[in-house]
Order: sequence, then structure tokens, then C-alpha cells
Amino acid sequence: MTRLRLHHAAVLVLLAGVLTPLAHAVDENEPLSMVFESSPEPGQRPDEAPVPAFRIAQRCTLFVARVDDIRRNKSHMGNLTRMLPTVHATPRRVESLRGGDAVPWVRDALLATRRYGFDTLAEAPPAAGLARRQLGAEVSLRLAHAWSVDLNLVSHVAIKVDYRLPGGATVSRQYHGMGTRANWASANGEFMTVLNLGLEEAVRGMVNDAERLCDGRPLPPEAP
Amino acid sequence: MRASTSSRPWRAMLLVLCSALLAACAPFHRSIGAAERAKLPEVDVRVVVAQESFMFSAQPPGAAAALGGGMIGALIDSSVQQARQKEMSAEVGATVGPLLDYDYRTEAGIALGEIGATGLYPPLRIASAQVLPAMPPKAQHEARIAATRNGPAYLVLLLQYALEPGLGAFTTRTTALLWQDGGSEPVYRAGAIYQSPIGGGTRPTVVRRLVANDGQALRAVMRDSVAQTMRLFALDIAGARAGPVKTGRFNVNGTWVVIGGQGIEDTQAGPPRVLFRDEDKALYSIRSTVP
Repeated sequence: MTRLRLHHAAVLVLLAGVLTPLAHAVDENEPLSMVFESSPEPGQRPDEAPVPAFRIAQRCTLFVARVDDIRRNKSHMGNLTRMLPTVHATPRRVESLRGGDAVPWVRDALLATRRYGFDTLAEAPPAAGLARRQLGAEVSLRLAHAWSVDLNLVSHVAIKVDYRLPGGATVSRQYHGMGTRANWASANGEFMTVLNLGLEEAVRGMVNDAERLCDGRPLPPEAP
Repeated sequence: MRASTSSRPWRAMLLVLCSALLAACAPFHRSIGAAERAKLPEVDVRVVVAQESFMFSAQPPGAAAALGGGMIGALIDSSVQQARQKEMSAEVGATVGPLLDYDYRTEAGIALGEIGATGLYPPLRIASAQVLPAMPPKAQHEARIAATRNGPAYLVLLLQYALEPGLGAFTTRTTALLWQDGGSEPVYRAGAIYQSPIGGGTRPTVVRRLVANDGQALRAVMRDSVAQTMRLFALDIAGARAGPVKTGRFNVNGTWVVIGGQGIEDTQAGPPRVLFRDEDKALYSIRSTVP
């Protein structure tokens, strides 16, 4: 009986060892859903202590006049690459992630800034000009890709924002967001989730600057 | 007795799984046979660069091995990385941001064009060469392999590029797979690692140096990586003889170490580069001085 248990245990351990690297569930025929979903705010999860969620002090209207996708490669959004953790590792297997239309994806992430207290509208600023506590923004997606590292998925999303301020002044900034999560099955949905985390973090960087601009404060200089 | 009987299927599974694991550990390098080399036709080269930019992560690949390996090490690795990834977001933004203007695929295309114009030494007759932004879908890939029965051979390079943590070096890691005569298995399979030091100074200093003059230094090292990698594979396919042992400084996840192996005899290699094969026949082209 003990021997039987040992056999069971050995088979299960080996099965895990064999199946884990084979669990490449990326579907090359199915593009990513390109559906943006906000992650829960701090304190929203049932196992977390209540934490006050971030909200801007005073409301601000953000007119998202345009969203452009200026990525060089608009058809793919990353890869799943198998490499052994050795000094002479080279890619043993590469699978590419097909994307879809990224413009609605980014727009939805920008509209989700309403959760922070912005009155975000996917429309051009009024022809009469911007009033106090109003901002215009033209947003370009520069980078969105995800990849696997050990037991994790990682994403990097970069957006460029051209702000238009009351009075006609303009200012531009670039924001980067990195998402990370455990990789259970390398599924398309998991890659989409980690891309959403990266985009959300990039937009969160934009939110900080947009609040400053709405308050009439200048932006800090960009990092060298 | 009962236990022994009922454990037979488990024993069988155990054997199958052990075989699968051993197969995974089989040597990766496969030299091209003399017969295949002799009748190697022109080659269609496809360089697959499936990444959109530099891929930085808080915990570089292989850290689990440094923690002693195994599932526990990997899980610690995983949680450490997730915690640190957020912290390094700003740093990655400051590093990758300025580099986004320069595209590896563009530079790789230029390098392949130069190879097409000047030829390779040793000669590898290239019928066509392209950089692909993604791995071709399976059906297309298989059809392309089948087409080697009456056409050019098919050489796929799976290439990944990276800046080592600390920005000390630029590295590419490439797998070459060569099909010919319609066979479903590659007649040649090898890995090549290219590295050039780019470091010296703080992160902003290195980034400024890389992007100065419209990214001259960065673009040059990107093009050089393709040229040198193609050269390594051409030498290996041609059966370049082993020379004396060679060593060089190599940056592994931000740490400089000395590595070496059996030198690859290359009559046209310049002195700055060190070419060798390690004990698993992985090919290296490394350079110990900043260009």
C-alpha cells in the first residue's frame, strides 16, 4: 500500500513537471478580446482591510478628443517564449499573441478614470474653449505587449498624452505601466488581464498629472 | 499482491513520464549531417522577433535556479517578482521610454539587407531573408517546411533581444532551425548568444549614450547582433573547426563572469570578438571591450 502511494506521488510530481511546461494555452487562432476591465480598488476584495480609494479632491472634466494607435506592430501584443533558465538559454518555442482593435480598449481605460472623480468624456473639447477645471487630451498608444517570465506574466504599456489646457497651452507626457500576475495556464484571457493591469497603471500615471493640470499647477519635469 | 497489481498502470505512467522528462533533457544542438550540408540548396531565412520592445522584469529568468531551483524556489521567485515589478515601473519607463523610438526589427532588416548585398562568410546561399514580427501560424509554418521538398531550404531564427539588468550589455539569444528536402524534422538545430558591452555609468548616462545621434550606438549594436548571429550559424553549418579554448567576459543578469569554450576557427573574425562553443555546443559571440 505504501509502495502504491509512492507510485501515485511520483506520478503526480512527474505529471506536474511534464505538464507545466506543456501548458501553452495561447490560442494563435483567437485574438485577444481587447476588453478593458478595471481591477478592484484597494479594499474592495473581501479579504482586504478597508482602505480609502483614491479620489481627486475636486471634480475635473477630461475631454478625450482622440485615441490613436501608433504602435509599429498593431497585429500582435506579445509572446509566450519557452526558454530554459540556463546561461546558454535560447528560445525553444515562441508563440505570438494576436491582438485586436486597441483604440476602444484604450478609450475604455480612459473612461474608467471616472472612478477617480473625473468627468471623462470621449469627445472633443467645446468649440468655445476650455473652462476652468477642464482639460483636453489626445492619447496615443505607443506600446502594449505582454510576455512570460518564469511563473509570471508581465506586461508593459506606454501611452503618450497631449494635453490641451484652458487658454490654449499644450503639454505632452508619456506614461508607462507594468502589469504582473501569476501565470497559471498561459491562456489568452490571462494575457489580456495582465495587459489591462499595465494599461490601468499607465492611465493611473496620467490621472496624477491631469489632476495637477486641473488644479492649475505645472507638471514636474520629465525624468532625464 | 493487490497493491502490486493495481500499481501496474501507475508504473506504466511513471515510465512514460520519466521518458518524457528525459526527452526534454536531450541535447538541443543538432549538427547538420555531411550529406545534408553537401546538398544544402539556397536558403530562405526568416528571423522571428516576437517582442515589441525591451522586456524588463523585476526578477530575471533563471533566478529560481539561483534560489536552489524546484517549486519552492520558483514560487518565492514568483512572489518576489510580483512585489518588485510595481516598484520598478518608473525605472523601466525612464529606460525604455527613450528607446521606444528605435526598432530592432527595422535594424535587423537593414542588417539582413547588408548580408544579402555583401554575402556571408562562410558562404550560405540566401534566396530570401525577412524579419517577421510574430511566429507564423502552425499551418503556414508546416506548409513552408513541406515546400522545402522542391524549393529552397528554410532557416528560422527565433531571436530574443535584451538589455541586461544594470544596462551593462546588449544580448541576443537565438535558436536556429533548418529544414530541407521536405523533412518534418530540422536537419540542423542550434542556439547562439551574442553580447556586446554597452555599459559604463549610471542608467541615464547609458541611455543618453545609446540614443545620441539618432540612436547611432543602439542601432549599430542591434545590426551587429544580427550580422554576428548569422555568421555564427553560417560557421556552424559549414562545420567550422574547433580552435584553441577562448574565454571572455559575459554579463549574466547584471553580473560579469568569465566564460569560455572551444574556440571557433574563423579566419575572418576581427580581434574584438570572441567566438566559441560551450560544452553543450551553444555558440557564443562576445566582445569584452566597449565598441
